[in-house]
Amino acid sequence: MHPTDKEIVREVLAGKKQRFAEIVTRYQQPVFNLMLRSTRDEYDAADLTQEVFCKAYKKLATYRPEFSLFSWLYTLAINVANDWGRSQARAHRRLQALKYGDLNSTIITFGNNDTEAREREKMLEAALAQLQTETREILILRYRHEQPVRDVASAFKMTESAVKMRVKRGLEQLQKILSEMNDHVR
Amino acid sequence: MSDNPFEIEKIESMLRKIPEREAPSGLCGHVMNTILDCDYSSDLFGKLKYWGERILWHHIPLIRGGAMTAMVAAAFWIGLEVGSQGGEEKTYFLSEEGKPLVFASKFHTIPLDDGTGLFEDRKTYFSPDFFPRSITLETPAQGKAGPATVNRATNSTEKALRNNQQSNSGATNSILFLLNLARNLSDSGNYPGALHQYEKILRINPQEQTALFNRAICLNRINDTKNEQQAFTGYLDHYRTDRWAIEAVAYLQEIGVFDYQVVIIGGRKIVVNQKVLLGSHAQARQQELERLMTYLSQYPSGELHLVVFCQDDLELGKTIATRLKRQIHALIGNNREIPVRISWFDEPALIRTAKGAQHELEKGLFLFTQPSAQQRSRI
Repeated sequence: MHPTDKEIVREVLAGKKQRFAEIVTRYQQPVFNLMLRSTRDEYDAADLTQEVFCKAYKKLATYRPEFSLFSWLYTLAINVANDWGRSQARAHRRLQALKYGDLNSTIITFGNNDTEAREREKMLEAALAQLQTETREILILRYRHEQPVRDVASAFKMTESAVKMRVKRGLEQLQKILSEMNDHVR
Repeated sequence: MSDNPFEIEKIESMLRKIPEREAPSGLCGHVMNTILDCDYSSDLFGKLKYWGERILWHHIPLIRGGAMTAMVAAAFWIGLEVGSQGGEEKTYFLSEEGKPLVFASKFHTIPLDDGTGLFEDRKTYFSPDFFPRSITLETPAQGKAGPATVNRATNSTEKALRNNQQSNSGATNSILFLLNLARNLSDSGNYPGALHQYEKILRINPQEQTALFNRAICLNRINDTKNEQQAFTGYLDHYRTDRWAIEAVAYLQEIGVFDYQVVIIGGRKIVVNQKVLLGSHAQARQQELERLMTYLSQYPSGELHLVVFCQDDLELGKTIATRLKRQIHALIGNNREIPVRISWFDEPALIRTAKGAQHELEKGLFLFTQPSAQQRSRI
């Protein structure tokens, strides 16, 4: 069987630095996507993702194994994203929602014709973009990454009941935004 | 509430399936380079050693040039006839003399000893994928890939080739340059040329993701179906979870190869080799299942569903499904955190390709995960 996160962390802390690559491989995608949602720029997102993993490597000894490594990484990533957000002049950085570049295309891209599904995804992404950063990330961590409430609470330094309440309110907000969007489309 | 097309449960379901973008290829490698490169800062001794090595490394040609000049001067001084050793030696000396000058000019344009060398690398690292950005970011004075980048911007592939060849020193840099060069060649429609460059890259690093994928694309473009199949299969041997892997499956299906299947594990699309999973080669199946278990642990999910289709042979379907379940349980051990649900049908498996065409396969495997009832009611 493949090693668990905790086993890999133990190995890295014991001096096998190369094993950290396994952690990066496992979690680079969610961290990159978090950064993409925060920065709306692929290059900034890539740079910040790199920064997150460098910080994680330096702070690995502070990781508490009773929580999932992923939620710990997510906490670091949210902090990095917040620092970045503060350092940016908002006026220059305010881009349209979902205006992601097409820079990661390979030589040839394969078309996806499922336009309806894509529209729904776009609506959801646009609705998520209207939520508070913390609420949005709590929802994503809870549903997209299926993290237990306990780990989400640890990542956001909240009580479990506060997380549950935030999830409930976030869902209601999303419902309202999506309904409004839907009415607008009609 | 029933009139609302966005009920809470539906939103929850959409959130679970919200698509994610692939992290840029090579990000992991670059993070590791940064981490390992920056490790010098852990203590003073490490710091001194690191900078000592870096400075010395960049000064070696200068030191060598200086030493040779001193030797010649010393030979004159003590009246020895250096030239009597033959004209070739002199030519060698002169040509060697040129090298430090080249290095010296590089040294001035790339102030590596001010700590920005790594940063410069970072800018150029994604150049194969982030090509338009590299043009705007890089100037000849800023990065190692400067001349090649500029020539690429002016579509001068040959010049870029020359510059790239001149600049190929380290293996990592070689890969970056070759990737850029191959990209230029493919952009200009020279797929055999690009293919050649990608093969060179794969000789340096057989797992280089961009080269593995783009090589297959080049073979597709020159209609070399047999090698294209091998190339995409080769890509899928190494990579199964990224967007390119899913595209590789689509390309394979286009040429009539249905060995691989895109499945959804924990809300993420991954590629599995259904031929191996359905086949009788126990060791290969074991490896494929181990891989699958890794994804299951990485992308936590509730229940794993395996649906086996065997046309007109219900018994075989049952045998295969049971065998897979048993093997998965053997891999998981006593820890049965992932319930496995199996089912089997004596009907052909229907495959819909990326272009919408339908195919019937005698044997097929559908595999997916869904949150367990317990997980669904956890909030």
